[in-house]
Amino acid sequence: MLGLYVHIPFCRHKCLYCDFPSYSGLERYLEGYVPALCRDIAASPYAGQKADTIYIGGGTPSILSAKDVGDILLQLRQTFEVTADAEITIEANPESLDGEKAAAYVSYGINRLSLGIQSFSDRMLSFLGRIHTAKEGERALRAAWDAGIHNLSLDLMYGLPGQTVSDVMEDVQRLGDLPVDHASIYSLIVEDGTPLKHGLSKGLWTLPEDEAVEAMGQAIHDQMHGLGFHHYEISSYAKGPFESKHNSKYWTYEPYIGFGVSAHSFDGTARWANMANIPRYIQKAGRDSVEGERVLIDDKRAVEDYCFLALRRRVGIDKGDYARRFGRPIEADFGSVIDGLAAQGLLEATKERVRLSDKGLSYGNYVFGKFIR
Amino acid sequence: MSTDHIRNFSIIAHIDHGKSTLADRMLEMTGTVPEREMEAQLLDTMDLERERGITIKAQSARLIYDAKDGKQYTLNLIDTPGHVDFNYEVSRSLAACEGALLIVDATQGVEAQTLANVYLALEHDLEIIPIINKVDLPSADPDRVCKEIEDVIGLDASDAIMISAKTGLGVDAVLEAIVQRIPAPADEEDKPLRALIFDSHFDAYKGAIANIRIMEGSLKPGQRIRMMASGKEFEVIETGVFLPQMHPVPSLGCGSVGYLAASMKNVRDCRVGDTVTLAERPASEALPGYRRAVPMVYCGLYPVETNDYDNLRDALEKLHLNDAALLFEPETSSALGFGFRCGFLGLLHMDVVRERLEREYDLSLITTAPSVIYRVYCTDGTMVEVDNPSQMPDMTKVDHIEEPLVKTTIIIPKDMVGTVMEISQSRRGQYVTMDYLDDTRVSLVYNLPLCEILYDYFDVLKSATRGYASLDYELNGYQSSPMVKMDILINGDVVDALSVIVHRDFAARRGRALVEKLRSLIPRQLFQIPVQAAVGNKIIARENVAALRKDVLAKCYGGDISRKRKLLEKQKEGKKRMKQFGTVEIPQEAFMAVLKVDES
Repeated sequence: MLGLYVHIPFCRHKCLYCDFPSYSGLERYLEGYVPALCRDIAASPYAGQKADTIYIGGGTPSILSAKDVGDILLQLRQTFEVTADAEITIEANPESLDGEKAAAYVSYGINRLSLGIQSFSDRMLSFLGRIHTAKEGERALRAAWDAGIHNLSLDLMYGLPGQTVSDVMEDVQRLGDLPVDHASIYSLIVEDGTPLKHGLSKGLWTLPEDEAVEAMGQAIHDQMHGLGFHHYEISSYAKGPFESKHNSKYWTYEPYIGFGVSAHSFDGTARWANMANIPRYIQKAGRDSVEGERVLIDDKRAVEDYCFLALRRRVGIDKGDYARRFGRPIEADFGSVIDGLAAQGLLEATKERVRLSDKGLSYGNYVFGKFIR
Repeated sequence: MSTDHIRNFSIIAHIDHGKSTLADRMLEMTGTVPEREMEAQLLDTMDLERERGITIKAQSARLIYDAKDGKQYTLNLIDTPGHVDFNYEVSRSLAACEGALLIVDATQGVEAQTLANVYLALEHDLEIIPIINKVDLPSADPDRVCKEIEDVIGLDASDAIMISAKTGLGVDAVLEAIVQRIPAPADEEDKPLRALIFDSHFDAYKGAIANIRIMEGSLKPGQRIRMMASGKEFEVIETGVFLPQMHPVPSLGCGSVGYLAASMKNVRDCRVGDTVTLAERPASEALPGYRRAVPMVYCGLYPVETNDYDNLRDALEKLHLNDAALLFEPETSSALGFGFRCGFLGLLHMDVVRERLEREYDLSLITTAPSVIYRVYCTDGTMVEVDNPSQMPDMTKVDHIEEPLVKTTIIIPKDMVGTVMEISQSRRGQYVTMDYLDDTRVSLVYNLPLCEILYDYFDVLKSATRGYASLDYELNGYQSSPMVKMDILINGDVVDALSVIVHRDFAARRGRALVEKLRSLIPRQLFQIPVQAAVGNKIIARENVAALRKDVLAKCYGGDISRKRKLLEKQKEGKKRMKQFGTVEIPQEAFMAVLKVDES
């Protein structure tokens, strides 16, 4: 079944580290963007197919009015056969979420919310260029809960300048006190072209040593386990059944279709991204193709992608699924790779599955690289 | 037939001074090659030659020229290789001529390589015609360059010809001067055949082809010939001339330049410098100057993929057909598996062979650091020649070691003398002489150990002089030196392919620089990897390749997995040409690192 992704490329303020397709100061396009999205969705060649996840991401989707969100969801339901039990997620930032808006989300069928908290330290938040405080973050989260969204996720970042292991543990503790069942926890990555990179090169800030960042990652892992979270994917934790069904589609080679600028899609045979230019998208959506170049996934790339994506999840690769999809056992393609990595204690292979070991979880990129031939 | 109408000449020039361009213009202006078929630098046939702007294989061309005196002349151009590695080939090409064009760039002046070749030409009593090229360039200074030719070489440059090979300016005067100033070959048609082999190449249909100059006598198909050095005999199948492609002719008369094909299986049947005579009526003496091409530099060549071994052998055999100077024999390394020890005339020759193997035969290779030949005198009175550090006898059994020296001539602007002396002395050079070429340029002569030239002398010299230095060298005997074998241990094990022979006093410094370099080249693995340099049992340097860092967790937004994949592909890119050594992966560059360390 399809996953549907909708991209909202607007932010009130662009964060220091962000190199994702999101823009501040382009709000004048907001008015035209939502109708364009609806046209884009309505014209989808995949119309009529069943979908069991919807994810409205960004950017900052909560910057939209509740009505806009309602219109988008309505269009999705009109175009696709969205299942009754579909997971419908929206990303929100604390400064643009209140109880009223959250209640409206619930009325449209939204049943999952991911809040971009990033940190519970006001010092860190202001460094990152976030425009909310720790208190506002907690307030927004409780508002969502009170409105009836009981599948809540948080984003947290670590490895920030001036941050220590105990700061990070404090963040996790605060997370534990909130009604949260899912968290995406990732480290600050310095991307080219960001103000972060520029400032670091000028010596404005200093990142913590690699060893310290490693220690933070380990501390988070241990503490999250203590709180009852399960490290089900390299950068995601969940309690019980609260794994993100939509994100899991990315890792399990399931199809997903993206709408909006720079949205990514995979239909099982090709991957593509939409155009990035907002005015042009508004002009073309529903009338002309808004897709960028399609990359056809040949057999070689398919098995590579399948493995490195599946291994991101702790349950790893289902050998039976592999054989069904590709018509041969995984050992025919990666037997010696798996043996080598297992010998190094990075993979665990059973009759049914191949998965990262506890040690392998820390060296994912090394392991994944071995599957790229 | 008389030889009056024949002129045989070569062109002497430094790289980029315009040799190939002038040759092209002469081919064009004599109608030898119609303009529409003209391809730039026609005589450099290999892609590599065109790319690098150097001539590796000598090429010849016959030009038919209608001179101003109303007569028609046959001008034989013998193009010569332009690099110190091929000095011997140059000397044979010059021996096949009566004259030479000396091309000097009007914006640059005389360079070391030019000088070396002019001296060679003078040794062969060639008539030399100085030509100043690129006079059309704004920075041209023909007067200064003429004066330099007079002062440095001692040639009368008053009748030097001013040309621009690029535009064709003055090229007619060059053709006329060849006729007027270069003597015709001596007419010795009646004597027994003596033909000089000045080059050879392999033709898939005709076998080895010898490029020859008939010094005495004449030659035609059907005759039985004898190679005077090897004693081998063959029946001539075809004689011909170069237009510049091969063109059969019924016979080659005295004084002429052409080729012979005689069903020879490989180029070693017709070695450069050998004399061809007739089996039935042999000459009593061979032409002077023959010697076998001797490799000066050795290295190991190993396939990255072990199952490419047979392909590498086949490729080497094919190149060998056409390259008498290339030696190879199988060797085994515990680190690299099965490969070949190969001998070359010099570094350029080595580079060219390696590149051709990779490009023309699509092989991925690991090259070990080049080594010179050491004469190792053992305590039991025997001497062994060692061209591979891993073959070095146990040091307790070694009495002393001799290493090859080269006499090195370096031409530089005078304000760089201090720098170059320092570089030369720090690499164990012994000062020989210094001459002022003119007010601004100096020729320095040093005796240097050849291994220092291979190590980094070229590169350091080039960068320290910002490319202004030109350099030439020739083998100049052996000297006894306190050389030691330095081993490299990775993760506690000696990697035989990384061993080097160094001067005792340099071992510590080079060891440190080398392990430092290796540390940066060896990719991190799950555990820390010690990298050590050792002489005998003594560890003289150590570095650690730190263990792999744990991943940082990165967010994956909106299903953009191409970003993740690109990261992994980039990571993979850096891991090409890895050789598994025990539990450690060693990249190809590591084996060449020995040559490219920065000691400063």
